[in-house]
Amino acid sequence: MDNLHLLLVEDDPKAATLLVERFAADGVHVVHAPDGKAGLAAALGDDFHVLIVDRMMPELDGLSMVKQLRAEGDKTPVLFLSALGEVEDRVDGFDAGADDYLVKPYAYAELHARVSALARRSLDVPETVLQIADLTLDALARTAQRGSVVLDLNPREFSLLEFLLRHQGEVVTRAMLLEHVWRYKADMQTNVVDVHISRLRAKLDKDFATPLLHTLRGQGFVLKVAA
Amino acid sequence: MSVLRVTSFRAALAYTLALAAAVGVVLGFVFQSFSAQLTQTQDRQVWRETAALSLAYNRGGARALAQAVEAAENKAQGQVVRLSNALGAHLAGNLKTLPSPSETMRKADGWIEFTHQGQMIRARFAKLDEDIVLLVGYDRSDARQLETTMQWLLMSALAGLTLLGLLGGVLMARRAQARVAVMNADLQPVMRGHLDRRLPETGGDEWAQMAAHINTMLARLEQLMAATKQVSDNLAHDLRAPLTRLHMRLEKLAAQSDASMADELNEAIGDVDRLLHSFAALLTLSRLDSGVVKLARRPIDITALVSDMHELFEAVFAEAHMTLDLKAAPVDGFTGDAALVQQALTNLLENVLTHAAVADTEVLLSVSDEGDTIKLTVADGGAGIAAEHRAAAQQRFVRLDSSRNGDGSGLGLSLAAAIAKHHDGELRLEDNHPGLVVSLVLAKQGKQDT
Repeated sequence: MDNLHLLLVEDDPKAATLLVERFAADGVHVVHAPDGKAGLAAALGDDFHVLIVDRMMPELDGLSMVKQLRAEGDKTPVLFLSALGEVEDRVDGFDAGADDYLVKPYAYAELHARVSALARRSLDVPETVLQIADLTLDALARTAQRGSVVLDLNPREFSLLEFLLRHQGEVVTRAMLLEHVWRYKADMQTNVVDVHISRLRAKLDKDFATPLLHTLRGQGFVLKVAA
Repeated sequence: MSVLRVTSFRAALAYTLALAAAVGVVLGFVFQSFSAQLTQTQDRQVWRETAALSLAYNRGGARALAQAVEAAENKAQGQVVRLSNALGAHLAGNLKTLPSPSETMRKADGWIEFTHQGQMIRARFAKLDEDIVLLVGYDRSDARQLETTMQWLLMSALAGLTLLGLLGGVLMARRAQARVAVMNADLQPVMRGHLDRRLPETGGDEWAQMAAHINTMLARLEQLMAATKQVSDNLAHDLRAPLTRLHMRLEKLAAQSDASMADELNEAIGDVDRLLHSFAALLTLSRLDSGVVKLARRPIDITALVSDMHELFEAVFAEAHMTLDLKAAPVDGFTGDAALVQQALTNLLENVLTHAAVADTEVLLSVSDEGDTIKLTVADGGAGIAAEHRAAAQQRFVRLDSSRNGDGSGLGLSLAAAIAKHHDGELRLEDNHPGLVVSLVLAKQGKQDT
């Protein structure tokens, strides 16, 4: 999505600068607030697509800031950045009103993909028929076809494709797929997702002229008509 | 626990038995004194009678003696008198015949005792002249009766005392047991990591004092644990923040570099990721071990979770030319932390991929209902682990074979073991003939934290 307008609430100036620069390079405008108080004031004073909030901050910490924000009725999607990655920490984060949670250190691509997904979600209307190029997926009938060919997908491949279609044109990371398609929340070193993606690709792209499912090295996957 | 095994009951029992023995000795002595006194009093009467008869004989000869004997035999009830010649023939008196010597008990001090017409006679001979032998005695039946009554009373007292002592012991033991049971119940949640729990310090007695001491210890322990958590949180923050920046800088460089440089940088990013993976695992492990993390048990469809894991990994095993089979039995009522269970299973499956990847072997992932527990197993067809190395394999940073693939932090199994322990269960390593069977046995429900 273009013209993203983000608020970054982060007390580490070096990390903040790096992030702001990276986002700027991608054409995303990021406002930086150095602590929770400033963050709360900024969030309440302007309309942002997504708030990226560090959990551990002096003055007003991330949890309290988001709780106050939600108490004010502000529903802007919030993504927590945290060094605390334990399950109970995540639960605390979601309880406070966060929409996503990313444990430090994260890959920039992961953050970007998640922020884009959150930004889009705020405008999302659940569609039942999803489409890109000559690929059509009916989420209710649970059928997918490309051109006139009905794709023979198992239920998980179907869910995978549906998720990719709902995020078409956006980078989707391995961790996002594990969380949303497999309900998998743990930490793993094996590239299991790549294997499933290549299986899906074999059914989706192999017999067609234009590939739709692309792997972005070091980032994740994207479903799009190649530019 | 049986009341017989309570320390205070054992002490009370020993005390009661010792007291009963001492009291028994005292009562025995009392009884002996009583009996001796009784006998002495009656014996004195015999001496007096003998003396009187002897006096009568000395003063008035045989005639006076015979009269005195006649008078004596009627004087007191139960008194026996017998006058005989040296050969034993009866001359006078109410005792016509004497029992045979075999039926007579001779006492050391010259008294004899025998039974005559149902009476217990105690008597002694006195030789008045060459040819005149006097026997004076009395019936001891009444005295005996008294002794028996006395004996019974004393025994009853002793029995009563012992019984009272035992009863007291049981009551004391019950009381102590109840206090200890309350303490044990209160300490159960503490043992499961609820270090904020305290024992009630009521009663103002030594139990309350002990509870206060335990509470002080717990407070100290809680403080130390909180400090540990603080340290690990700070460590997490202080290490992760610069690593995040490092990660970002490398990514930025990789994005700006040409292909060969980008490859190198991506390798470096991979190294940072692996470092963080180990770091995260170690942090989770420390927190699980310290009991700082409290398990939030939620109902989990473990059969579905295992099926999902199978589905997720089956493709990767196929890539490695292995078959991952699934045996998922329905399980009722399992509660736990889904992310932790996924983590444990992931570690077991990744262990197979890194350490037991033998082409054309079958790996079985299974879940079964074992009543109060569930059993999750991963059975491979690899080289296995020798029995003597299995315990070591569960320790942190232990890599059994240095020649193996250098990947892996050496934390996988220990983390899985900690997760099992966190679910009130254990990790088991067994032989698969060939290969290794790793089982996670997890309790379905947490113990009640009341």
